[in-house]
Amino acid sequence: MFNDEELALIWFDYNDVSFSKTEKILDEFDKIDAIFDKNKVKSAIFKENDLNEIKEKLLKVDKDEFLKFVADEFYKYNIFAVTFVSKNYPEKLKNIDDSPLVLYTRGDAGLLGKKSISIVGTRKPTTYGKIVVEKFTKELSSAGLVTVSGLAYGIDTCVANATIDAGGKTIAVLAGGLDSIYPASNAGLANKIVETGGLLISEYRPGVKPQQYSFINRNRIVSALGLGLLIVEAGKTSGTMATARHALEQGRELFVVPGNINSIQSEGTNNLIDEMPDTFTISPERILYRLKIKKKKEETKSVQVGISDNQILEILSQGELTFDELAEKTNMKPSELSAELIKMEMFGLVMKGSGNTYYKI
Amino acid sequence: MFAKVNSFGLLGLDGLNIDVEVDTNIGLPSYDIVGLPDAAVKESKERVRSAIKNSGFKFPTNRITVNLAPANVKKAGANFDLPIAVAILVSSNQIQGSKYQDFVIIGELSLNGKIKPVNGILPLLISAKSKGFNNFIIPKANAAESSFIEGINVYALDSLVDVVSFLTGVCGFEKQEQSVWNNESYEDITEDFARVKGQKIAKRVMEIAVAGGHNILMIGPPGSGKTMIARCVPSIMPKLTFEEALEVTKVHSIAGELDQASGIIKSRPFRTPHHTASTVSLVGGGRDAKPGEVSLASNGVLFLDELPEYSRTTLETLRQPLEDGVITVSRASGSFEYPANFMLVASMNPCPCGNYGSKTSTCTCSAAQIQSYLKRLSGPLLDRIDLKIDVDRVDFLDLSSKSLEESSVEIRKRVEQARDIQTKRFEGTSIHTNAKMNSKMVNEFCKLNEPCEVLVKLAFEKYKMSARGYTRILKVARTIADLDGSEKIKENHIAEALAYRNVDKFGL
Repeated sequence: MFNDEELALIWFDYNDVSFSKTEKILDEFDKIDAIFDKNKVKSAIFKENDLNEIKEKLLKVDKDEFLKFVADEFYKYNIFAVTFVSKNYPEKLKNIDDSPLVLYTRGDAGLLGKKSISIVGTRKPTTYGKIVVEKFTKELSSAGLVTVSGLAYGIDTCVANATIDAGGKTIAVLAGGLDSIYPASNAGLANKIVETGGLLISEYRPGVKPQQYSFINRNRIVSALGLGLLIVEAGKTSGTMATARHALEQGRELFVVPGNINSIQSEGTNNLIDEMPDTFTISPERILYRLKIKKKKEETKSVQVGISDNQILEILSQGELTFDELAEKTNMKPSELSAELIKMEMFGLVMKGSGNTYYKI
Repeated sequence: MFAKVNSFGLLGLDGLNIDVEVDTNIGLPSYDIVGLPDAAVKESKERVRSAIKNSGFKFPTNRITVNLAPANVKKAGANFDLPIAVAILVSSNQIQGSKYQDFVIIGELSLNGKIKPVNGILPLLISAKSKGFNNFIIPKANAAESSFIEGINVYALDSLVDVVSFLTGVCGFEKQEQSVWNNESYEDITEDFARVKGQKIAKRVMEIAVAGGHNILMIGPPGSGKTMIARCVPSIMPKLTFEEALEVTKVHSIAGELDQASGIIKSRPFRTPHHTASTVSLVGGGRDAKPGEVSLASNGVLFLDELPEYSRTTLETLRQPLEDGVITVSRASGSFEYPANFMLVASMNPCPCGNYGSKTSTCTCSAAQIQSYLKRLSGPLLDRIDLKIDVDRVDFLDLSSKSLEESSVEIRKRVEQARDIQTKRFEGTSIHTNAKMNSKMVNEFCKLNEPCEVLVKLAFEKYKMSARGYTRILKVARTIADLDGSEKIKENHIAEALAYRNVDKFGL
């Protein structure tokens, strides 16, 4: 199941030994799995008290027993682990500053090595944001890219849903242990991600509840996993902006979709474009071009739409309108217009925002 | 000497024949009431004593025992003042003859001998009539209320002196004239849809909701007109039939909410309990198991503004009445069934600050706050609400426009036509509206042709609908087809029903 090196890293994580302490301890050994060698541990000398405490613990470890414990634990939560020393640990996580030593996974861990795009944004998107993220996600995932997001409310949820709808694969990076999905209302979506061949990962072992800092830590993994980072709607000071900084530090391409200058949900994204004009993105094609990804040939789908005329679409192409305004312009009865609009919504031609406002897609 | 007078007491929505028996015996002067009287009945002692004296009669100085039979039922209220006084006067030979035996006597006495109105005259007289009593003496102030019952002789009198002179034959009194039920010309439209500018969807959905008896939930920011729209709903409901009016009046009469001048209630009730309302005030209860808001709203509208602000337990109690149209209130004094056949109109903000999704204002709530706000509504309650619409603020231009909007009277015509179709459809069953159809009826009356089924299937996948959601769509589509005068459910009917579907979960 695991070799001794992998098991050693998992042991450190399960004993809450931080990244820096793990480094310091390992400095005293020639091999990672030497920590299970009682003689070598005895001869190791540490200056700090807390490191000596860990040494005491290490002296008591029974390797086989720990392996059995881990196996039971992973079986119980239906998870697996990919460690820094595992063969399938993705290169793209190795070349960042603070690589996670252990990643807990549920689903197809092979996705970690695939070409992917990270997509993030606000938890409270506008209808415009939802339309944009759906369109981009569908195009990018049908081009063969794996989408990466954080399973939060809003844009993240849209990304996961749209990828599944488009028949693609998605990776959700969580900020807590995989035993309890946060936010809880997305637990169903998380299951669906796994069922459709996607992947859930977390650098936290089961039982660790998400903390404020873990969301920020999680963002660095989200940005690192993608070839590029696409941002759709972000407030001025938001987790999304932190993810953007991570992406730049990690040398990832940044793609930012502009928004309405009056909307607070677009302040962050518009500022980013202002500072870095070449992040300006208005089409998925540009992302594919920059990431050098060839678009798969699209199967032409013919949809039989029972829609009487295109009058509504024509009017809506000049900008969003409320139901009342549409009724006035088209001269249709409310009953007819409702029926017409819902059909168009189902065929993905228009989208209804809150407050009965309709947008053309 | 012994005397017995017929009277009636309230037992839930029914009347119970109470024999008021008085026996005056030789002995030390005393005055006792037995037969499970409550405080109001016990206190009648003093009222009766003063009323008799102040009317110029003599209060007997014997040993007086008053018995209210049957003795095992609790008696409440001041209904029995007048019959007790009459019985005492009979037993002390101040009323001669046996005319009093022909009458059911009900009334509260004032100290000076005047007769005061009592609650529940209408249900009392109706059940007395069904038990074979035809002659009544009731308080004058209750006259209008009693005048709609056919085939009984009601004498509405003003004072104890009048009653005595009537019963002894000294004076004659005219019996109460029969009022004729006429609701045709009656228009009581305080809020008219003609005054609601814009909001085309809301108006259309209200029309559907009323036509099919569907419950409805409006979601929108503060100031978007949800309350105004709700207040207009009674104006497009079909006019009350006589039976409905009687039922409404009965409940209001028991609750003491009846306007005595008009007698019978002609307009549909519109009840707006505040969100701090207790469970008891909403569903009924209390010591005497009085009807609550759901019963007072029966045959009309129960409007719950700011739905998530109501306490959860209070809202959950609405589930039985929403399902069955009746509410059973059980208390120590007994278990009573009251009507609760109301249409639920509820409104709420999309988030705690109220502005989420608004075009004009900015929402300051966090995503988690919004989720937990929406989660306050339980699934089973949402299941019973067929229609859901968004309501947004109307632009100033729309508000100030002079364009004429459709009036409530016009909308009501269409609603009444749709209701007629439903009345025919459900003849011989216990239901009257599409919303109340059970699954067997849905299968029978909501058959879909192929294009409709394709559409529903698409929607099922796209919106991840539940089986319950599917039934709701079918019922609403049936109503839309009825409004259209169409026997079959067509593609457009289904589509429109989908547009107003109530989602099981609200998503961000």
